[in-house]
Amino acid sequence: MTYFPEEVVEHIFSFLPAQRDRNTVSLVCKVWYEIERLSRRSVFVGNCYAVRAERVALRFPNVRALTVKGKPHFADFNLVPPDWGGYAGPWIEAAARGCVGLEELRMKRMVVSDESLELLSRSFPRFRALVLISCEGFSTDGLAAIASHCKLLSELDLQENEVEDRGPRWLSCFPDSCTSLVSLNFACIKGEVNAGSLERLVSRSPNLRSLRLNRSVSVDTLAKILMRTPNLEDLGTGNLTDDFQTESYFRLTSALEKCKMLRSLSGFWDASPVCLSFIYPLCAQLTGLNLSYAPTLDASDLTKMISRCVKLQRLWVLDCISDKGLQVVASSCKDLQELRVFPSDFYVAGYSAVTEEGLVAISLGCPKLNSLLYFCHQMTNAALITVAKNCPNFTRFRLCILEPGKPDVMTNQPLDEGFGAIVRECKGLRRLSISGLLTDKVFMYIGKYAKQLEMLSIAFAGDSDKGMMHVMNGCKNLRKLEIRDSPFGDAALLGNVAKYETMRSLWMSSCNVTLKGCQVLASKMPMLNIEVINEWDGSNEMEENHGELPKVEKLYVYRTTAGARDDAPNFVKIL
Amino acid sequence: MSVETKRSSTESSAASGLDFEDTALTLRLPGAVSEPDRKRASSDADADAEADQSTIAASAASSDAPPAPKARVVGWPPVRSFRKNALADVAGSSKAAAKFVKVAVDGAPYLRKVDLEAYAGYNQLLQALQDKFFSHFTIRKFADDERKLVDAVNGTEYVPTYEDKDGDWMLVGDVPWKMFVETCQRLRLMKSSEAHQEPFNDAYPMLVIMDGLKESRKLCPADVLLHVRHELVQLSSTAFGSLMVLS
Repeated sequence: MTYFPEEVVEHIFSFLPAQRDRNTVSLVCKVWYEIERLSRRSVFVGNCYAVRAERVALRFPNVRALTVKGKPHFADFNLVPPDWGGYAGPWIEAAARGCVGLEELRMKRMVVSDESLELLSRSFPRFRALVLISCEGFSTDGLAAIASHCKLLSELDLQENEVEDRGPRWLSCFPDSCTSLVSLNFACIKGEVNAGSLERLVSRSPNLRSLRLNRSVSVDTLAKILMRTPNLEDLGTGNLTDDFQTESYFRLTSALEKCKMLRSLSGFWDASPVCLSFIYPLCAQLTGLNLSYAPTLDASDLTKMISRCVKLQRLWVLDCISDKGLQVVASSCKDLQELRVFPSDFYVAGYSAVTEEGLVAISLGCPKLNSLLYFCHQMTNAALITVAKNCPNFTRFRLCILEPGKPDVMTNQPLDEGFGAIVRECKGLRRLSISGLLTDKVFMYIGKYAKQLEMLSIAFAGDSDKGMMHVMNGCKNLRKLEIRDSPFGDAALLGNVAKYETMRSLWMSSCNVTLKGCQVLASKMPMLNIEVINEWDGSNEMEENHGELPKVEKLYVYRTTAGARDDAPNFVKIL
Repeated sequence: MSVETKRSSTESSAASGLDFEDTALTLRLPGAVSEPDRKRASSDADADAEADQSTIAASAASSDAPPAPKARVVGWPPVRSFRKNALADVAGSSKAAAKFVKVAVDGAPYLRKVDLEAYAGYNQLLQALQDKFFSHFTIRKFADDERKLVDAVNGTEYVPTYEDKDGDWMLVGDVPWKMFVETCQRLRLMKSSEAHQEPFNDAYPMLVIMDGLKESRKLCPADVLLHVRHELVQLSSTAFGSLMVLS
């Protein structure tokens, strides 16, 4: 292979888009390393602190698409204190210096400032796509910069970010020359937008395929927009209350009729049930439906709509759908692949209208189901065993029983056998979240059977260190392990230290790990960052109690080539 | 394939050691497991069932209960704050106008504002206060329906109180939610210790006017509320409260 000209080798590499493969070929020899790094078009950084931004920019100067993830997953649930880190600034700055050909940037759980967005908008002449998921730290002024300066912008996708609202000006910043929009999602922007600007923007975007509006957009505006977008595939509605004249709704219906390509619907917000009937004609062609932000719809509203969605593959819904509603879903949506049932009552031991019966019904009716997120207030082993037999294709299985440590509601036993069945039958399982009353036995099953498992989330489970060690020793493909409120201590932490090199990260909070254990780990594994996170300054306490070391409240361990990070706040101690 | 739905489990109840609670008449399905202290959601929308946090940790029937200290169930259930806030916003949006009131927490350097119209009930409001101020607060509900916010760090208890249209400081939770939203002017999370002391004597000298005679007395408002019939008393909202007892 060394006698082939570089162009040929590069051409061969172009058939290897997957990052894993490209990493592998780059290890073969220096020549291949060079060819590969200069031709790499897409880089994925799963942990922004695993590697220095400058180093990535230096190694891959011709990168076109960059994806960076910041805070650990449990940050979604307020377990990571604010100001912990995950700043986008260094990445955008490094790319601005070294990778001017950048076209796409995707960031998740990062802190992005308006200044960074301004820099982004000015630094990359071919920039096309910005996707921000669960990020924070910026305002609509930052979006104004993106709109103003990114002449070739085709995708602006803002999913569930905390954005400070500084007025509707940003949407008007898209210049008249901007006609390249394919995807625009501003559902998470809380404030109003200028209806006229929005209509004009849509009018001059003939390639628009995906449009997700926020709650401020009226039915009237929506109807006008839809008249201009007959090729729309994905729509997030605005306001659908019946404060408006019925005439608006007739206009909406005739506009929707033209949207033959529409496959996915979301939004709804405080839609009144009456308005839903105007959407019924669309239902038969839908493959994706997100009703999880519509608490005003009750079970009968939901089932009337969903029973018409016979081609549905992806459904996100609130638990007010109830078990009966899920039975309707099971009998209507035979192609269902992904189901998410969210709680409408967020309190521990709160009431939920879905139980194990709804889940069993779904598993009976929808054998193609491969991805599940299910919040409920009770579960049984028998139900889980049935579900496992009916749906062996699960790749993602996340079950959250609202009350921590709740046993099988019929037998009062732990749910070990139920989850055991899931991992045994679903040989392709990559992601698993467990809940309810669980002993070390469930971890024995997971370690034994979940060979493809990449991500495991544990809460209020297990009896002893053995539990965690089953997982660390058995799950060969484990990349992310996150644990809260479980009795795993130093022995578990130190039971298989080499494993951490093969994993992206470990999170442990409210467990039994002590500072001493963390220090031992740090000394054995210098290529890891061991972050001890204490929101209150316990350092004085620690000096006083020599004999009995206090437990580490929150621990975040990750492999890194970057060493200790220099942007850590004072409540994070890096060993 | 179908799942056995037979629910007779008096045997298992006895085996688990659950006692008389199980034989009490309830609206649950027969045999559904109940935890001691746990109240099921009733028809009253405001009385969301909220088990005492300590029994949840303790009643994870395994003897090796999770090591989490009693009051710590932050971040559970695992739902993104974005989603929680968005649902709260949506639920509240059908109402006409927002009602923002100031919230003061004893010991915090600055006040916050919350929109009472955005919440459907007391539980959502307290959850929002928890999220806004400290992530390590938790809500503990006592048997007499009194709600307190507890700072799990140092065990300080805060009692939610509010000032109503008459200028009186009342305990949050007594009146129906809608009535509360209408009458509440501002909120104060008062340290529990303070609420039960008589500290006002020095800080808040009060002018007591009785039957046209002016007389300076030192009274704790709590005392007054206890001992004086409400319809006779008006507490004004000035910093030095004055008490008028009308004949």
